[in-house]
Amino acid sequence: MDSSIFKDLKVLVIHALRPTSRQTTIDHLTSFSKHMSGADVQYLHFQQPIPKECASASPDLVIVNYDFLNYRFTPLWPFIKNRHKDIAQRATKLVAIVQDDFWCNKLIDDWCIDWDVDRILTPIDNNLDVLYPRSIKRKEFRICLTGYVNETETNATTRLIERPIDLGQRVRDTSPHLGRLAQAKSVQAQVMADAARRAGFTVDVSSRVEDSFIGKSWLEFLKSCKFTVGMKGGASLHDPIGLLHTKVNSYLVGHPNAKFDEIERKFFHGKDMKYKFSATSPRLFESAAAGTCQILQRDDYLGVLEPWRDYIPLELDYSNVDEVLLSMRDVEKCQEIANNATQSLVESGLFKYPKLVQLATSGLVTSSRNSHQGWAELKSYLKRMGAVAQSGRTELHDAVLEVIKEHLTLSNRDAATFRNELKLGSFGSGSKVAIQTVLEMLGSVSDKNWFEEVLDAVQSDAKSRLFPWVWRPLL
Amino acid sequence: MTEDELTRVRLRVCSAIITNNYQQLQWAVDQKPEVVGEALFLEASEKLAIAPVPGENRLVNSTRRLPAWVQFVGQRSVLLFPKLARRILRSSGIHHESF
Repeated sequence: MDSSIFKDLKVLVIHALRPTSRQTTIDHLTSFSKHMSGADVQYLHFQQPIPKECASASPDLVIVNYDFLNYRFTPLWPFIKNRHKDIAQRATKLVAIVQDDFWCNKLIDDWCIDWDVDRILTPIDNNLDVLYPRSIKRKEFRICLTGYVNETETNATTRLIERPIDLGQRVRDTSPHLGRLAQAKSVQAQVMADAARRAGFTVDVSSRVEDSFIGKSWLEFLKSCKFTVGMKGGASLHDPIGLLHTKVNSYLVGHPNAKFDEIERKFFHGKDMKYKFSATSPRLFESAAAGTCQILQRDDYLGVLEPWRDYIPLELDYSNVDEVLLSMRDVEKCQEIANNATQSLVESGLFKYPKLVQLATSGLVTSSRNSHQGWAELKSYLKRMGAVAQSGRTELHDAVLEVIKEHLTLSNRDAATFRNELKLGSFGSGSKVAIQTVLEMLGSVSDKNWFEEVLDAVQSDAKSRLFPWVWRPLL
Repeated sequence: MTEDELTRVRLRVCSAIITNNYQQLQWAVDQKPEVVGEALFLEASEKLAIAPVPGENRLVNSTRRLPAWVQFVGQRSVLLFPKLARRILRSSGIHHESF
């Protein structure tokens, strides 16, 4: 991408990275600093406190990422939806990247109007008027993917024949409130896993949260699998404010064995499958990058994947499972299919992260018009705040924040009392050794200064103390 | 195990203890005491014995049987009282299964 178009642009990306965030989210976020050369891209976690001297910063462009906007699914949303709104309002242009638009779609539609968003990026390419009745006429919508190819992840894959697991996948059990389509991915994985096990294949498919992979370990897992199974993600119902989700979950507490059909009859009879809000999953790219042969539901995948050339097609009604299992035995042929998918999705260069950056930024801001006042201070502050995590000591960063949050904010001590208690060692009932160990790890003077500054910042920003999550910075 | 890996393991154990996270505490007590350190290991074991098991809190489970709209309003209202909300979250363990 031409770096001159971003020259001196001040860009602020608001995110909600957590210690357990998926690698796709991390790649998604870092793509802006990697591919907006010439621009000054800074990252601000929504929960991160900002001192007053930095609060006057006026970015040229603010990008609000989906990981923050996904907090609308939680009861926290009314309390955090305006977090850092003041700084976003001073930006020349504002972009929102949304995912899972069908869940709490009214909340996101209202938020886009309230924040006066200029452009909305969504992976949903149909029925947007249903999801965004207010924004659809006033805002610019662009269709993006939920994940792109990370150029750095396309190396060092082994041939299928050398891989220990035949069929591998991780899926999340989705709540029935998003309709039959949202359930389909987990059903499909289960059907294929059962069939493959019966046919004597080595299978590692799970929908349990504790079996999920975090960060790069997911790609390593995929690289150890010959085959993976998947389909487009999405939903066939929308839940405007999240009430349907509460209703269904509430019913499931009293009726834990309730089947989908029973829940459908009770809560959304005749409404399911009226719309299909579907989106291409980032797993398509991850599997192609890992060189894993994909078994996919027969569908249109970005107009580039052909059944039997780039993937093994599985029919919607599973009528050809036996044929799929038979084809899995021909590893040489499947190696060719996996190679073709890698060629179509990864090596073709059509779906790399610069595409996302282009969709988010093109034509919005061409030159820096806003004052530099406060920006340098904000930049320097964010750098200092992120220093420990960025030096690779993420566990130390998180543990220190846990100490501050649990023993400063929970008990509502002020910073001076807390410091005094730290000196005396009279803090943290039941956690004294753990807290002492964490503080001993802050060996250098700069680490100790960092701790003091974080402590002061959290103390001065009441909102940052509201909720028990740890913010994870990006630089 | 390298010095760096050792540090990471110890810090993860510390986070488990400080946050009262049942699943992480289970992981912590599966580590070797000589790796984690005797005192830290003992503290993790003591914390595990009293840590809230997600999904097994009577108060939280009873509210899940309330009508959906009561839950919906209640979840949002309780956050108007952050100290109370944090106490409920911490004592129930549900903040470890939250989004």
